[in-house]
Amino acid sequence: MNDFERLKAMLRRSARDGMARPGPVRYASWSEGLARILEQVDVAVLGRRLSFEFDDGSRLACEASGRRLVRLLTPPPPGLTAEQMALFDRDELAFDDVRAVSVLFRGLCERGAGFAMTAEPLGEGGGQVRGGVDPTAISEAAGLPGEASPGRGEGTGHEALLEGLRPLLQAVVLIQGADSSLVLGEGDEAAFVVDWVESSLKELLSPGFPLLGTLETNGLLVFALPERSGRHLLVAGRRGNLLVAAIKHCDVEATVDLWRRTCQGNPA
Amino acid sequence: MTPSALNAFRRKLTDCELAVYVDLESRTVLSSDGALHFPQEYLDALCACAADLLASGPKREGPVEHVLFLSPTGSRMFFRNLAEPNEALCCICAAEVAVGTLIDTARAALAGEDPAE
Repeated sequence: MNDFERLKAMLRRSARDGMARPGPVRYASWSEGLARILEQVDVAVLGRRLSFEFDDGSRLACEASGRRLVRLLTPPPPGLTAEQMALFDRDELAFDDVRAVSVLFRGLCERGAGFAMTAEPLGEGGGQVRGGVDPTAISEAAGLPGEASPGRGEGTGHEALLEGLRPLLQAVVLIQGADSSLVLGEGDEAAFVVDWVESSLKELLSPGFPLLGTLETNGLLVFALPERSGRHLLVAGRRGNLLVAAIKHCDVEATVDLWRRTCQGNPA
Repeated sequence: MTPSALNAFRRKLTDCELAVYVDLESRTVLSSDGALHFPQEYLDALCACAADLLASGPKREGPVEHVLFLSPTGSRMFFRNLAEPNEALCCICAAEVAVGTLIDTARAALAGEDPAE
């Protein structure tokens, strides 16, 4: 057994030892119940099968891995909409499913004031996933207190980021799924960014790009160009939307600092 | 970049968990230095990311010099060797890494070492 295999075995043992035991979880509101479910997803570094039995007898089983909710397992609980039922057919959940997942979880939590929960480890390969959805994104889509409210464009973090960059912005493009639209800029600068998005960026940000999920959830990509270009480029992701901007000057450190302050709540 | 130069670079940065030197054209890992042993597939994936990212800049602006990828859980940085544009230094660091220090250290490491050595 090499070092890496030893580490994996240690982590797996640790995950098993720290696993939640079957037992009731009580909550005072649906949001508290949802938070308790998402906590279990957030600690599932290695693959886990999570099962919940709610007060009204409804059962939900799912798989989480890499701190993401990867898939919902059949059979679905009764009383779901067609959109929610479709979630159980997914091989892996994707960012587009976040809102439906949040509504599903909220509905289940509202059926009572508690659930019994079990968690068991998945076998080898349970930790290797590309898809799945981030528990923070589910929490935000549900509009939990303390999180950005859903349905406000690209989110308050992005709005603050753009506001902070405003004097330096040359052009901004918003990518939502397959669609992209120019939201700021004109002339050559706008054409430059639109051309870049269409000719290179969309190809890079394909489903095969391993960092796409993290970028879309809440990530930042900065391209430092040669000094003679006098600008750098930014791609900031939030809840599935991608903001692409060309920014005057080459001070990428200042841009990263601003992103940390506005989108991460980090004063550093 | 020799393995010892890569090791020296990583040791200058307390937040750097892994440093990898790659050939962008052949998408080959030339050398690596990490706090833990990382499997080859992981290094290969990082190398592929570097090649894709550094090739994705706007064509008319000249080659992208470096690409920074940040998330709440970590940072990945990709620095093209300006003397050997088909080679790059990649590193994985903590989320809160000091970006300015990292850029300066990476550029100094790349400039101070003849990649052909």
